[in-house]
Amino acid sequence: MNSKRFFQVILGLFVGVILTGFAIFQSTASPGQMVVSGSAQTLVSANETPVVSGDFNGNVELNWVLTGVYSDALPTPTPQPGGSTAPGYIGDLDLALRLEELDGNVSGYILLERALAFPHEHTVTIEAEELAIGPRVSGTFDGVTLRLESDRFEILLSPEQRLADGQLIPERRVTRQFSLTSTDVQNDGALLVGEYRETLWGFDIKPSTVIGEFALTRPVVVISIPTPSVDQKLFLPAILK
Amino acid sequence: MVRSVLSTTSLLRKSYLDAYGPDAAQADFRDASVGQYINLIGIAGVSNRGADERCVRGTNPDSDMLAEMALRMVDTRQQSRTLSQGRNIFGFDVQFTPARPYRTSFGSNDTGILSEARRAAEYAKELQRDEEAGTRIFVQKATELMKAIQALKSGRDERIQAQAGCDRNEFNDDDSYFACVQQTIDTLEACDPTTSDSAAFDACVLQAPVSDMRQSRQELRAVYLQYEQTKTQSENILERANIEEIRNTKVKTNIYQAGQENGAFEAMIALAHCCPVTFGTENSVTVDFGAAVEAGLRPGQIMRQAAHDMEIADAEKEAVVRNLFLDQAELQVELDITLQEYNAKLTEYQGIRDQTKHDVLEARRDRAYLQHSPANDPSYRLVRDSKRLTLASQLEYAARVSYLAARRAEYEYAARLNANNVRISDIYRARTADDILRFLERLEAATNNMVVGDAEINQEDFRLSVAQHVLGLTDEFLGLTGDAAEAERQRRFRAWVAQNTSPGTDGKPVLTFNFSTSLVDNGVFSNVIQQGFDRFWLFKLAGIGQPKAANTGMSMNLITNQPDNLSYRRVAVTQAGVTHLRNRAGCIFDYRLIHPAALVGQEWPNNQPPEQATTDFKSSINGTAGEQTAAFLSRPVSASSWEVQVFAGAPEIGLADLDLSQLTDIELNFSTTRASRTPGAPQPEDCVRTDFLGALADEQ
Repeated sequence: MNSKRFFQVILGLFVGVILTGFAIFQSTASPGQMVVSGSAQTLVSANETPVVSGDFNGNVELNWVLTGVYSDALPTPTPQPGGSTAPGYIGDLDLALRLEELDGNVSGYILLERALAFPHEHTVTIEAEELAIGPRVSGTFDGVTLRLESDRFEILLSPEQRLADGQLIPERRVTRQFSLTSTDVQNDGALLVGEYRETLWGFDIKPSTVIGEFALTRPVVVISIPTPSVDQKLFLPAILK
Repeated sequence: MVRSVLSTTSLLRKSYLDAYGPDAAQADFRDASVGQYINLIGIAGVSNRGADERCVRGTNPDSDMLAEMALRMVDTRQQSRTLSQGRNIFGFDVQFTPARPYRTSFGSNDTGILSEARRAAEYAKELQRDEEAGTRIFVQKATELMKAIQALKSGRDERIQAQAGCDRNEFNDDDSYFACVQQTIDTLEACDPTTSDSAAFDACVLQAPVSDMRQSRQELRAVYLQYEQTKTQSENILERANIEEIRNTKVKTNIYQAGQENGAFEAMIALAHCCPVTFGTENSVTVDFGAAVEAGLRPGQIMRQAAHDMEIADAEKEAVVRNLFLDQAELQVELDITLQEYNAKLTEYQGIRDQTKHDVLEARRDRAYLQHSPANDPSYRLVRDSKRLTLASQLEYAARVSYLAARRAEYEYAARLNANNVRISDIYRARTADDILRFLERLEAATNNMVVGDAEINQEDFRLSVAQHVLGLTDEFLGLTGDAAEAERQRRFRAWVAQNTSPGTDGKPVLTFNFSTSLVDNGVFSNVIQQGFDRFWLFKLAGIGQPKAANTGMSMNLITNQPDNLSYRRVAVTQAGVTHLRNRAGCIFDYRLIHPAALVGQEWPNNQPPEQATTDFKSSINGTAGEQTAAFLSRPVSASSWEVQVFAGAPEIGLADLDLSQLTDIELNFSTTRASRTPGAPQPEDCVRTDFLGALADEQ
C-alpha cells in the first residue's frame, strides 16, 4: 500500500468514526444536546443495552430491620399496629458507588466522600493519586437486573477496657455486609432503583438485617450546543491590528 | 474505633484547632456516622424482635429512641457537609467578605462592623452578668427548697412513717399518702384489745403496716391478756379455798368485814369480787374498791393488811386460810399493777395516735408552706432560663458580627490577620462575652497598627479612557500619531460601539460594555498610571468627601461630536465578580465582597446578585451637567467584572437623543485612595493567608 492509499484509508476510518459518533449523538440527545455521563465521560446512547459503569450517588431509605441474614428468604414484615403493612421508616443512608461493568460482571467500591456511614477499607491509586475507598462490591448485570454484594467488613465498636475493679470488658466488633438488587434500571443505566439489604453481625446475639430501597443516579452532563440562527450574532474581535 | 455518641458541633469547632484540620474532623464525622448507623440498625433489630428475644433486663428501645438516633445520624451528615462546603460554624462561606465598613466613618450614618460587634459583645457581657446573678439566685433558692424538702422528708414524714408505717416514697401523691395514715389509725382503732377472740385481734392488727402505733396496740393487748391471766389466778384461789374445805372456818377482820365473823369461803368470795373492773368505751379501766376501802390505799395493800390482821377461828386451818388470803391479796396487787400498766399503755397508744394525727396535720401545713414558699417560685427558674437563652442568642450574634468584623478588617487593610497575632478561628472557640471582647481587643489593636491612615493614605484621582485604556487603542498600539491616530481610534471605537449597542426597553439604543480592571502588569492600571504603579497598594475607590475630604467618587463623561442640546445622559455602572487588593508586601489578594444583608441571611431578592455594587447616575456630555456617585466607596479599584450601560434616549423632555455613533470616547473618572510602598516583588510566604482551613489556606 502506497502512502497515498494509506492516507485515504486512514481518512476514511476517521470520517467513519466521526459519522458513527454523530449518529449515536443524534439518537441519544435532543436537538442541541449531547449527553455525557459518568466520571469517565462515557458517551451514552439510547436504545442500547444499559451500562452500569461510572460514579453513582444516591441514598437508601431504610424501612425494616429483621432478624436474619440478608441472603435468607426473610419473612414478610409483620403488620404494623394499625394494621397497615406499609414499610416503616427508620432513617436513610447516603450511598455512593463507583462501578465498572465488563461482560456482565460488575465490580466497584464505595466512594467515601458521599457515603459517610461506611468506613475506610482500602486505598487505590488513580492517576497517581491515592484515594481512600470503602468496601468493595462485585456482582453481575444481565442488562435488566443488577446484583451486587459487598465484601464483609469489620468495625471496632469499642476497644477492650479494664474497669477499676479489675474486670475486663472485651472489645466489641461488628461485621457488616450488604447487597443491592435492582428492580428498575432507567435512562440507559443512569438511574438504578432496587432493594438494599445489609446484615449486621455481632451487635446482638442474632444477626439483624436492614432492608431498604435504594435509588442511585449517575450524573449526566448535558452540553448545550447553540444552533446557529439569524437572530444570533457571532461576536468577532472588533479590534484588529 | 467508632464514636457512637458524639457532639458533632464540637467536632466542627475542633476542625479549626491547631494540628487538627478538616481532614481529621471528617474522619471523626465518619467514625461517628458509622457508629450511629450501627447502633440505629442494631437497636432497631432488638426492638423488632419477639418478646422472648428482647432485652431481659432494662427497658426495650422504643420508636422515639430510634427516631432520635436517626436524627443524630442526619445531624452528623449535615455537619460533615457543612465542613466540606467550606462553611464555618456561623454558616458563612469563609471566602466571603461583608461589603460594609469596618469602622464607623466620621460623620457617617453607617455603623462600622467593629462598632456593632463591640456593642454586641458589651451587651452580651451585661447579659452574662445578669445571667450569673439569675443563676446565683436560682441556686440559692433551689438550695433552700432542697433543704425544706429534705427537712420535710427527714423530719415530719420520717416520723409519720415510724408512727403509722406509711412511706411517702411509695405514693404518687400526698393525698394517697395521708389516706394511708388515716387508714392505719382507723384499722387499729377497730382492733379491740379486750376482745376474747385473740385470733380476730391478731388478724385485725396485721392489716395495719408495721409501725409504732401497731406495736403499741399489740402491747396494749398483751397487758390485757396479762390482766386476764391474773384474774384467772384469782378465781383459781377461790377454787382452792373451796377444795381445802375451809368453808366452815370462821374468819374475822375489821378492815372490810367490820369485825363480824364470816365463813372463810364467803370471805374469799367477797375478797375476790371486792373490786369490779370496767373497760370503758375508750378501753380505759376503772376499779370500784368499795366503801370499805380507805382513801389512799390500794386494794392489794388493804387485803394484805387484812390477811395479816385476820382472826382465824380454826387453828389447824389458820396457815392455809391466811396463805390463801395472802395469795389473793398478792393477786389483787398484781391485778392492780396490770390495770395501771394497761392504762399506761393505753395512754401511750393514744399518744402515738394523736401525735400521728397532729403530724399529718402539720405535714399538710408544711407542704402548703413549701408550695407557696418563695424558694418554690417557678419565676426564678423561668428568669434564669430566659436569661440563659437571651445570653446564648446574644453571644452567638456578637461572635458572628465579630467574625464579620475580622473578615472586613482583613480586607480593608489588605492584611494577613494570622501574621498579626489575630486568628479568626479564635472567634469559633469563644464561649463567653469576655472571649469575644478579648478577640475584638486583639483585632482592633492589630488593625490600629497596620496603616496610619492620615499619613499613609493618599488621594489619587485618574481618568480611564475607554478607547485608550479599556480597548487599548493607543497611538502606540495603532502605530499612528497625530490626526491619523485620532481618526483611526475614532473609527475603531465607533465600530466597537456599534457592536455593543442594542435596543433598550424604551426602544432607544443602549450601549453596554464590560471590562475588567486588574492590578497586574499590563492590566488597565498599568496603562493609566504609567509611573510608580508598583508602589500603589490598598488601592480603593472613594466616595464623595470620603475617606479624604477632596474625594469626588466616580463620574463619567461622554465625548461626542453631536452638536445638539444633550445636557446629560443616564448611565448605569456595576462592579461585580472577584475584587483584588495589593498589600504592602506586593501580594495581590482576592476578595469576594457580598452585600451584608445577603451575607447574614436577611431578606435579599433573588434577582439582585449580592456580589455586585450597582448604581445609576447622570453622566456629563462633553464635560457638562454630570453627577458623581459614591456607590463604590471603599471597594477595590480592581475587579474582575465591570459593566457600563449608556442609555441614549433623552432623559428629559426638550433634550435630544444621544447619537451613539457620534461618540468618540467615554471617560470614567475615578477618585481613589491608595497607600505607597517600596516597589518590589513579595516573597511567596508573605502572601499566604491561613486560618486553619486547609483547603483555603493558600491564596495569593
